Amino acid sequence: MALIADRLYYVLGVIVFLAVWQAASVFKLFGSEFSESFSPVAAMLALIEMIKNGELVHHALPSLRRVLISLSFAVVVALPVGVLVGYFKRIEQMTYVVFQFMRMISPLAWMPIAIIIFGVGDVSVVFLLWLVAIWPLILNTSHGAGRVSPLWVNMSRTMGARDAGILRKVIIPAAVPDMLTGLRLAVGVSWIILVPAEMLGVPDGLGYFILDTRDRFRYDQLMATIMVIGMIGYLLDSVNRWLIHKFSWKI
Amino acid sequence: MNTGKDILISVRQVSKTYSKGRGSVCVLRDCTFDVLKNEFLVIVGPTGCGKSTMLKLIAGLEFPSSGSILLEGAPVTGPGADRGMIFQEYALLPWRTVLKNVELGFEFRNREMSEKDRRDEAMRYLEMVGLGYAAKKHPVELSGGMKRRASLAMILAIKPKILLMDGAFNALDSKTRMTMHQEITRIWETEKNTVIFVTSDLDEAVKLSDRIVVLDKQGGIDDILSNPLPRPRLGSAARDLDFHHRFVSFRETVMNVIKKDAGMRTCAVG
Repeated sequence: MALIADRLYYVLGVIVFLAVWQAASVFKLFGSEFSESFSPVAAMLALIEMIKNGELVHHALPSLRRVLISLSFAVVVALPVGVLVGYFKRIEQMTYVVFQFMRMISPLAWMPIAIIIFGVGDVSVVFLLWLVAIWPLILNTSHGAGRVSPLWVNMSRTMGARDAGILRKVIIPAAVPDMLTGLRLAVGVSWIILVPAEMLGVPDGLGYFILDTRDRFRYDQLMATIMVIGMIGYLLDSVNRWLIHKFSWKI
Repeated sequence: MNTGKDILISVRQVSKTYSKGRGSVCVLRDCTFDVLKNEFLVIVGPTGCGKSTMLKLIAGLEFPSSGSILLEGAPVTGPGADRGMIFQEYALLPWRTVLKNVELGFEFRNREMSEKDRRDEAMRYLEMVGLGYAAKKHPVELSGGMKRRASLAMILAIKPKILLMDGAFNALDSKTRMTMHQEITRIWETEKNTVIFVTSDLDEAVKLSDRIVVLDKQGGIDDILSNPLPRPRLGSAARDLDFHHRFVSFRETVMNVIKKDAGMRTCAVG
């Protein structure tokens, strides 16, 4: 019973949120400019329209594709780097300052450089997303690999293990929960950076569509796109939470 | 004394100091003793006297500051699968089942071994420590005693010539501890390996040992005592009145060695 009550409160929160939003646009609480075309009802109707005429898929798929490609590249680079950084103290010392410095720079600051190197288009967007995704992955993986119990390492050595065996059988599996935490953070920041990144001259994607709807004064579609961005982000995060739940070991 | 070929490990004038701040702390001081083949050697001493360090030196996880440790005549240069070490804490990998933990040693060393052989062999060792029924469980589901037995199976599976046990049965309830004493004695008798066992529990030392090395507070060897008690010493044998008398009397002897050390210290300080 308690479970049902818990769920009801989750739903209730969403209803209150939508009600406040609807009221704000109907009664012009945020000024006359925030009109009824910004309301959730209008956004819902626009969303149905966008689903029917295929605009939603046309813009959501490229966005998802860019995020997934950049995440794949980020995982391929960041996990091995993170394990090495975490396991070998000297590598950790050599990379610490550079990594902490780099991760504080918004990837959008690299935008001009990305465009000079890769030109306007998909590659630049993927590069910027990659640049934002690698830091949480590297730092969490190295944290996980670095805090592996020395007991496990010592025990493995007395069982005749070499470095490669210890990395494969002990360090990497031990770091999996931290890798997944890193992935969750990486997905979060990538999805957030995606929208501004797609405003940099690509012809499709949810970020592009935000600007497009603004230019066409279709504020209902603008709000619908915002809703879609939030929903897809929520779904991606749910997948990550499920992964963490599934593949995390407990002490 | 013993002839040279019976000696498995030879600890020669071993000292160990750790640097601490600007100074250094001496945890082992000029220790010399031999461990014989198929011997059950127990090292006792007050906490912080360097017992665990001695075991780590023999395991090859650390190295003496001076002196040498010879394993069958050759100096110890690092850890090896001939010396299986059971740690004070549980070293089970939490993401693996108990069975998979026991298989770990085979994965490290016998990579050509088939998956089925690995499983069967690991199961044999789990049965040996009476944990066959828990093969599919994860460490988090085990009680303290079960974890001890699982770690024991894990180390036994690599068939070490020498078992190094560091406070292996600390923090177990007395019943589990008794079971573990019986298990380790039985395994030692059937597998014919050599055991070096570190403890601060004198009862345990007297029950298990062939010989007892007593370390003093300064990390030197106080005395090495041969255990005169006949085997078997556990189960029904322990209820024999004469045996019990001898048991208490030998424990007293060991106790006196330790007390004498404590007394000397008081004098030195005073």
